[in-house]
Amino acid sequence: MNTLIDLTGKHILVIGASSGIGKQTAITLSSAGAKLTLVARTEANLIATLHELEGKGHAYCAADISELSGIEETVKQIIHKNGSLDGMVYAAGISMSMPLQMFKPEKLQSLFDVNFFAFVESVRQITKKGRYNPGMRIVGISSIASLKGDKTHLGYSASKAAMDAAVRCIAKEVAGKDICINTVAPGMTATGMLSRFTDNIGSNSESMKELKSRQYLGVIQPEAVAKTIAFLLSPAAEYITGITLPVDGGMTTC
Amino acid sequence: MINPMDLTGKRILVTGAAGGMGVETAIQLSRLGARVVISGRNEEKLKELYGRLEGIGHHIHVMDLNEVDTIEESIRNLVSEYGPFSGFVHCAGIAPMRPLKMTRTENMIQVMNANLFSFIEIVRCITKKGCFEDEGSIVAVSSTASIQGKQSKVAYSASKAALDGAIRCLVCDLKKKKIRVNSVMPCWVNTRMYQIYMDRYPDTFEVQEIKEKQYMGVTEPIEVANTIAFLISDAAKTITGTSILIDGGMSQG
Amino acid sequence: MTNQEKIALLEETLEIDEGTLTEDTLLEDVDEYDSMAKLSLIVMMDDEFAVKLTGDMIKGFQTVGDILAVMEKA
Repeated sequence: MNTLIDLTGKHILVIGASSGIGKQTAITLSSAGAKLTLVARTEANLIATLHELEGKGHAYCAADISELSGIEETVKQIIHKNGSLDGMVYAAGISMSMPLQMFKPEKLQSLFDVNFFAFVESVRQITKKGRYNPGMRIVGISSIASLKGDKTHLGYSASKAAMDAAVRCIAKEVAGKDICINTVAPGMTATGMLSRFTDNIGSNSESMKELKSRQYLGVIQPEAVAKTIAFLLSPAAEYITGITLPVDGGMTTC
Repeated sequence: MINPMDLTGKRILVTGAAGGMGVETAIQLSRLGARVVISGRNEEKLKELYGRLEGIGHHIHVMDLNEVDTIEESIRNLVSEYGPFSGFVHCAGIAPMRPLKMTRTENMIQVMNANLFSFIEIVRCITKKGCFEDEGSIVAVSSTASIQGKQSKVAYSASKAALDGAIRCLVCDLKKKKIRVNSVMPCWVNTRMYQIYMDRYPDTFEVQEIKEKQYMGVTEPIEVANTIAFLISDAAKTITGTSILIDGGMSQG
Repeated sequence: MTNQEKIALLEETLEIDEGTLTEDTLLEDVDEYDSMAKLSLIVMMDDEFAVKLTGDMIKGFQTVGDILAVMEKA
């Protein structure tokens, strides 16, 4: 049992729970006592994550979050079956590395569907009357790419910057409902996404060496990001709202 | 007498040229010697603007940026007709006010298309080989909404922040050609859109804010035009990947 | 759209419990009818009825009935 953060009995929705930071976050939140509903595309992966959680009473719902028109129904079903929410973590996200010339509109659109439009729609749905408990806290997983540019990252950076800006606005709008919302901006974190990125640019390339020297605390373990998310979901983060919290091993400030 | 913002001979595309900021920007760039291609949806307004430009070598180009898929051909035609560009100013965009609960996906997509996807697509096409001079300059009109959260501005703020996030990357993507990309961040600017807001939402928090926090008064379009002209010109030769706040004291007040 | 349907739509837009509003309800007695609510009203009228509310029109609304009267397709 993780006693650093106490989320006992809190019903938290984790969207994008079957891999990477999302999966680790679900595990960490469960060890802090939360009751989770996991959402991801594939049932088999969800069940696998479910088996790694601590505690009982968790649930899952297989849904493709990029099917934007289906989000309302998914949220309604989850609330109906598992009760209203004390928190949500939006961990679904895709990266797309390509040179500017390849970034045609349809590619940008599909990136934004998962990274941004689905995020706002999910938040919009869970902040409707009857779906949340007072004191609900929401965390989106953004990226330092929102704050710093890099080549071939155009779409990803733009979508994450959009998420952070949306959160600044939403925080003000939902404050009256006693809801807080923030994002975390991880740097290079040891996940499948990072492996693919490293393969793309070469693990021994100049670019990679440069990135590693700027992220001077080293590559981040998913659990570190998960703990920060758990903090932001907890009453300990009471007055924190509308912010983007980097978990970046030093990268954004040097 | 010198003019550090001399733009003689530079061919510059201005989108959203029929709007408040676009009009003043196009005129000011023409006064500084540039050859401007003024672009927008409304041909009548573009013709009217054309008559006010100084100097020669200007052209009108009717283009609907909501039709993002038509941009590639549009830009190709522009370059083949008039030659490569040295500058691109993006003044096009929409600024709707819509509470979160009423911000459906189609509303968000509309704002992203107009404010972000169109900008990226133009940059993608206009920086292709032979279309844009090396060391050329691109400026987009962003907004303080990019960095400050306000009620009922979710889609708009997100689109402007995405614009600035994209600019930070475009600078890296366009490194080899040394093309500079920047944005300006005005707050309230005295345009027709501003007049509509003042009429429609007179007792909202937003409007109170204009009067109290933007204590230097509402920004006139010519001020935005001048800052854009500065960034477009060689006076800003090593300024890239940044944004210039033009907010009448709003952020600090 | 019947008056009942319009009232339901209005209640949803202003996030008021179903069955609270009547035609005669005075807007000044409705706590939820603040500046954010007026904004939501402007957006809803545009989305559903293609009606562009002006500042003057909004100032003129005294009762729920006044709003219902403009909830017709332009």
